[in-house]
Amino acid sequence: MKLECLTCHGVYDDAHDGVRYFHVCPSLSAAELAAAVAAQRVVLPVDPATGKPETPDVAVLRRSYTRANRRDERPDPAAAAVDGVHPPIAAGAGTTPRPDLDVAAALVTVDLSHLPPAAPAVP
Amino acid sequence: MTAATDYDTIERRNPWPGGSAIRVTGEDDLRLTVLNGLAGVTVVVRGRVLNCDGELIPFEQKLTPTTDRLASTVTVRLSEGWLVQAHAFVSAGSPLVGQTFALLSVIRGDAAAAIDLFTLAAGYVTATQRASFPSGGVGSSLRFDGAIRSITGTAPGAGAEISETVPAGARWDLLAFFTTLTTSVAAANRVPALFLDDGANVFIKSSQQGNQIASLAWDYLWAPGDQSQAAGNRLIVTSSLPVPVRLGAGYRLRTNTTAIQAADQWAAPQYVVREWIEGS
Repeated sequence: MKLECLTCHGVYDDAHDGVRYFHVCPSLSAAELAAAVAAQRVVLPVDPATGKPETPDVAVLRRSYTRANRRDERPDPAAAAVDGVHPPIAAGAGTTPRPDLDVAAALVTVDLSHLPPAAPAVP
Repeated sequence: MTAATDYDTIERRNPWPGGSAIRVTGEDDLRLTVLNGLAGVTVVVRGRVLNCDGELIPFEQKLTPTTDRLASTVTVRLSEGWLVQAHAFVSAGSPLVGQTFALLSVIRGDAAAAIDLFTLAAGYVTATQRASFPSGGVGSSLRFDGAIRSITGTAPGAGAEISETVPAGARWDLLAFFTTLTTSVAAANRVPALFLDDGANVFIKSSQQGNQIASLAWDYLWAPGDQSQAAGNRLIVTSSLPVPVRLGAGYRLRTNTTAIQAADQWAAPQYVVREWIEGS
């Protein structure tokens, strides 16, 4: 089933090859961190090399900025299992089905049986 | 010959050729433990016990394991006598070697309080490959060939980076990692790199060689042993990784794009790994 994570808005298939896929929200990108800095959600430290606040491009190389309420679908072995299944590490904001979006390449079958044979190449 | 005489005979010597049978009292049971990553799998354990009357009693028990690679178990109650044969195999589903690992052990006690007394057999199981006692042996889940998987990851939101996490209970060899970056109209020279980390600490950074400017869709490939090549006009950029790239549970494969813009869009990555059950 194709799902959209309502925390990071990533889109994924939870079992496209028959093996369960465990989505984990990514750390903030430089663009997302720049938006967070502009919205005063985080303050970047002073870069000793420049004496000015780090740029987001530099900051994401030095540490991981994890989004609040991130989703982590991996099973939490420390939590009690329900019917033999462990709950996720973090549910985040949840997911919503997105059957309209293709994540993996789709296979398309084309019937060529009624086409005339190709003309031989002329030297 | 009376039943008592049979019992005495069974008590005195191992009744099975080669002496391979295991004496089990009425308190001993057989446990099947399965670690599995594939949906729709059922594992069955079958075998025979030679009871104190000299009769061979067959048994069977089925287990539908969870798909999170954590242990699922089922217990087979054994009558007193000799456990002479047992094997586990897949009766439903089509796992590859590397996806469903089975372990047979003799236990004593109930449920979570049960203690493993002896391991009879351990190995990956499929419909045709079995974990068997007495002939199968006990193997590590990391000793065999892994399962080759082609995984479609998460297409991140606009302006976000790709991040794929090795699931709990798995070990991966990364064989190839392919994706596409479509840049927005915002002017900037994007330079993607693939970072590998242990969940926090980066240990490999593999940067691409070209600058991707605005309004382009370029394919990116990272593969062990591949040769790094700038884009030129081919719209595909390749970069190398060490051989092998072995990743434990919780390790991440993630892009880091210098000068990424808010409306830039990474496609869902397609990557190929060799996977084992870690057995942790």
